[in-house]
Amino acid sequence: MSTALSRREFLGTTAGLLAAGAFAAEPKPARPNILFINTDQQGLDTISALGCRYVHTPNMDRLVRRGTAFLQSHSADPVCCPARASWFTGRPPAENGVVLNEVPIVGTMPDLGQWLRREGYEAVYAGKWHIPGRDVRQSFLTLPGGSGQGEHADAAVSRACQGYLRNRKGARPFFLVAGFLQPHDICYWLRQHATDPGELPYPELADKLPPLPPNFEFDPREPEVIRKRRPSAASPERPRNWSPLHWRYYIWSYYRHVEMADAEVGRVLDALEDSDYADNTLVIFAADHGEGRGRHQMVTKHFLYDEAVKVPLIVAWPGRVPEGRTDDTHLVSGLDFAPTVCDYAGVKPPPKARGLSLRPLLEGQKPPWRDFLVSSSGITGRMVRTKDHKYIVYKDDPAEQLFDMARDPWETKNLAGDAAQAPTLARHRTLLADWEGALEHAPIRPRPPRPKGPKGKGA
Amino acid sequence: MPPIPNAPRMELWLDGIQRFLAPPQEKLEATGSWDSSYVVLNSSSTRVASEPRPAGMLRVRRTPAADGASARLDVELVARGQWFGSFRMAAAIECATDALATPRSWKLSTASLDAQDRPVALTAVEESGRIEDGTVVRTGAKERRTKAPGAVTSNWSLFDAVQRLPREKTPPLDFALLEDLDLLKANQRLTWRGAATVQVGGKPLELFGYQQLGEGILPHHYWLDAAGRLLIVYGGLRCFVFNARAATLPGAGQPAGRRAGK
Repeated sequence: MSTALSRREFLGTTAGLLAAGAFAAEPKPARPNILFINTDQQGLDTISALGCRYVHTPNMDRLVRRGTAFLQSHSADPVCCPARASWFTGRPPAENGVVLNEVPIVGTMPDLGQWLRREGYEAVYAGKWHIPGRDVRQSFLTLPGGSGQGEHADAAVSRACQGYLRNRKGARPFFLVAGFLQPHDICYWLRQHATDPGELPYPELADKLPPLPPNFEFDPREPEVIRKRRPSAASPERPRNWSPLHWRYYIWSYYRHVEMADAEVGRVLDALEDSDYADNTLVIFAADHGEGRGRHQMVTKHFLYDEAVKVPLIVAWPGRVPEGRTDDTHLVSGLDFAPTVCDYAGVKPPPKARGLSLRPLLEGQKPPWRDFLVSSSGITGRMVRTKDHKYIVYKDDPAEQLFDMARDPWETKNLAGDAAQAPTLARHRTLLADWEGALEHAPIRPRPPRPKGPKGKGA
Repeated sequence: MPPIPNAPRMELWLDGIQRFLAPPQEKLEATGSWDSSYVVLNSSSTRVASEPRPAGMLRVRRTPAADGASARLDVELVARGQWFGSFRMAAAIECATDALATPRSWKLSTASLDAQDRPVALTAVEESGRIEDGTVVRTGAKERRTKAPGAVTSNWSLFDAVQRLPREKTPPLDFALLEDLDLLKANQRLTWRGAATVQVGGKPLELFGYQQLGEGILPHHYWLDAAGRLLIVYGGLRCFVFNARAATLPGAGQPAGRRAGK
């Protein structure tokens, strides 16, 4: 099947959306503003209010206190472009076309900016977008500012949002996106520290470094794709010859990057609280994917262990969303973002969105909920997460993985070869086959040539 | 690029330092008036680039008060973006003349800039602030008061402070960082790092430095020349290199596509 919409559907969606400003519907009363704050490469358990002892995140903590945090939150695909395209279309990468970084989105598929504009929202974007094949200016009013490095650009993003919240006029509700790059700068840190680490450059830090994670040692029966991402591969961003001390220094450095993101988040939250919109704005905070942090001796992303696939997801709205609550029960996905936003905005989700609105959960209802979710990793990798198990498989690779997440949350013991687990394995294979069979797979398009120069992309 | 002893990761910036470092000839009067401009460099790799280009400009001017008890810092930062434009921050800070150049009060404005460096509608922000009785008071759309956890200084004040500190006699200085005059980052420590030597223009240049460690930042280094002028500051992916002509350089004070002014 093809994902491309029919001509009629196309005319009813994208083409009309391009002229959204001219044809925007009159605003409906009492619809909330929506502020979506996202960070890049932030694992779920990197927030002090959620139990991380190695980081100080007073602003993300503020959101945790004032909202509901989902602790079973998963990236739709733990790498930038696919995760982001999934957020804004509600469709998994296999359907929206963005199966890898820089592979373009299906051109006729509407995104949330276009969708909400048509419904009368002022859709505004600041910061990282990174959905290839879609100029963000087609979909949003963009606030200038940004580059490939958070340390250089994130202040411009938060300041632009601050200015927007202070200076905007008009009665239309807004959908404002603040896309921060941090803590993604850890990728550059890794390049700069990948080889020949030498002595710890700051001996005074030695007793302040976090310990190695419990799953630093891991079950080596892994798919080849994962093994290739380890230090033996010739990649500039993977550590080689690191001592345990330097792994710990990397983890310490990562948490400083998270704190940089936290500070910028705080500036936007302050601006919202100081504005006229504080009481009528739904805030959603999320990250596109996580970061290895030495778990399974991995760095960065592009794999399906929890350190890469589990991401923060916090929803806050004074008086409307339970405060200080965590939800450790419901399996949620990046695919749920678009349906949730649309539900609160009072509009239908984009066509064929696969996710579920979180709104009933946030309003204390007990809706029927999924008992499994699927995340992807590139073209070949798939993960099925059920309540107690996780199944990982890569196409044409016989090395499957099955983890008992209730007994082994650090994913250290692969049960795929355990005869006693054969029924569980078979059930997860079936769930995946059924899910994949129901998708409308987009043609896999080639990645365009990377622009020449030192900064061809901001992964 | 081999490491430079006692200067962690400075080798990443060496190409940029060699290309842009251009301090003035006149003597620095650290407690008096001075005007320092820096090219901002960005790194996303194991080195900046074989031909590093500016990613913005920083200018810090110090004017002491007549009574010598305070000084005014005028700060202008331009950060050039790769995506949609640039960003400018301008601040006037009244600082104490203490070890940390503690800010007493300030005014700040920020805006995104278009390709011609014109402010973009909706993005302009103006704020003021002060520190009184151990509380940081910021006034923008509303007034915000935050109890300071001990001593406080701003990242821009440190450009002044390190030029007046007594080098190896400097005790560790603990403080909270008021980054960009509004983001409070706790548990900072500034310490004397010692000397390092880099090759610039085929000659050795001896530098003397301080380091800063703390929450919400990567380790920062402040390197001064023998006369006490702050020449190089770096931390993470950003480096400031003294260049008296930074305001006129394309990609620094001028948009990248514009020719340098005379």
